[in-house]
Amino acid sequence: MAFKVEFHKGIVKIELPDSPSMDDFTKIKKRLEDVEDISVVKVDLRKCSYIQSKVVSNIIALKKMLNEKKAKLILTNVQEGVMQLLEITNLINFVQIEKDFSSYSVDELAEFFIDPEVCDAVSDYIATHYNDEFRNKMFELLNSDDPIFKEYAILTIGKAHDVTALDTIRHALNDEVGNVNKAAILVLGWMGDEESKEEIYSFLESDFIDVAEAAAASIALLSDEDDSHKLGEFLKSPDERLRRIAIQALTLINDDDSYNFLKNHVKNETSEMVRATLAKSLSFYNKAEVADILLDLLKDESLKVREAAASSLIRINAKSKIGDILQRVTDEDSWVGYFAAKAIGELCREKTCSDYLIKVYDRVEQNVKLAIVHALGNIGINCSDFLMGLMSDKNEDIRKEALEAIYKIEKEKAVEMAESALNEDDNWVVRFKAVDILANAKPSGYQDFLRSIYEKENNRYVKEKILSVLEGL
Amino acid sequence: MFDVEEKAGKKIVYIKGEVNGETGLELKNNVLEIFKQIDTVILSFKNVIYMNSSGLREIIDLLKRSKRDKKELRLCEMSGDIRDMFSFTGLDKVFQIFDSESAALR
Repeated sequence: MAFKVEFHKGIVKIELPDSPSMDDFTKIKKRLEDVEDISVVKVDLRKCSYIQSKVVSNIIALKKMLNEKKAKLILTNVQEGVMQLLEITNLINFVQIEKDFSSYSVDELAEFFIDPEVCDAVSDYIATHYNDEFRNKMFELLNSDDPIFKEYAILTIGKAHDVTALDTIRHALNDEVGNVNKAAILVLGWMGDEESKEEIYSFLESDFIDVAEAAAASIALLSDEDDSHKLGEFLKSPDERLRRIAIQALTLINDDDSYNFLKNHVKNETSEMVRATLAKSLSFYNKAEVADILLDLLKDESLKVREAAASSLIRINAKSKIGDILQRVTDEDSWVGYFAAKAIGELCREKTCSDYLIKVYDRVEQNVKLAIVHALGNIGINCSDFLMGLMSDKNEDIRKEALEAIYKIEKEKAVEMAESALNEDDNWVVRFKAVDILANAKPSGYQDFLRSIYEKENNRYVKEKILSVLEGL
Repeated sequence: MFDVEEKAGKKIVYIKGEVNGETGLELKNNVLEIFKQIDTVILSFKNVIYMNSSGLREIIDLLKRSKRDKKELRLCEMSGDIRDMFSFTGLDKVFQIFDSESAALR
């Protein structure tokens, strides 16, 4: 069987037969030689389960010819056996390879739904090129016995927004397979099918977490003014997972009622995981008092909640609360101070913050000290003298963090300190960081310096790091 | 609420602050107007901090209408939190979402 050629707007598509010959390539080149204004040539190898090495050399020759014409060569639908040959011959690095679904028939494309590597891409392709032929195939698959075909048919119809399938998709809510239910729930949400909302509520308590989460998401998308109240009731459930899902849905609805439910629930929630979810969720509300609630949560008994509160303060860019957060750096509970210092490092770029952190440094515990040094690097105000003083601290983590902070503030000083650390610091973690800094800063003569350090270094990790830097060059 | 710039034959709409029912509707109507002059619009979420389900509904409707009119809508530069909202609702499978503006412009 001979090859086929199609021309379309500067793109040439060549479909090779299962065993392409030298003669095929001679003819292909001849046809392309006379054509002007080619931008891309796609060679489709989907029929070739194997190609001979002489075909590879012909592909290289074709690429050369196309380079002269300033056109790109793309190999499409390369099968595994051919891919291995391209890897062995190192051609894989010189030719673009991609999937071209336009070469396949509707039936062949639908078969890809069972291939986890390409099923999503095929579904996207069909949705983008949705026509009567694709529609008929998707409707056929909706009645398939195979749940994977059914699931992907539903998702593809949803992506194409084909509302004529609404009844069948509603019916899929009764399917016995969780993934089919999930696909139907999501698509009904995308399509805005309010009629299904009540039925979707029943899936909130599904044993399958994916199905329950899809239900929460679609309820939020289909919500009206009553849904916050209905979902708010789920916050009373003894099932922690259900409370968390309800919080996700309420957060997405994001109205005043949902806010009040979540705000009030923070005080009563017993699970630290759910409180951490609440600390994150509240930051999605554009309300002034959220920052105060989060400040309170910085003192929560759970470290997870404190961490979530600090991240949320950063998320809402709570610059107006910098003064309050700074005060918490010296809290008697050192983990409050730790998360407060972390938040300051992300929120503040002012000298007043770095001055305050330096002032209280000696009064705080070791974990807070580490967070302060990290924060000073992020704030970026020059305090290199203070940080250089820390390079003689007896704690290696402090020395390492100080080196990193100096690097963020003053690169030249950091290079000096890194060189000195490589010669003198007795801890490999600090020396490892020093190599990292030299590799990033690339000061003049640093390769020779690293080579000399390599000779006398006795730590395996530092030696490996130096080697990787030198080999990278 | 948003700025519009033209780059590489496409319009980029830089959304700011909050996407809710009201701002989402305004965004949708403006983008539909832009689609009268151009085939591809990119919505940049770089400066979006807040978004809710009403805002998402307007963006879904915008996508539906753009598909109907054979226009292309792309989204880019979402923060992790906003991207999470799209994955939670499965809408990350429906929209073309790019990590960067340059990737969306290609």
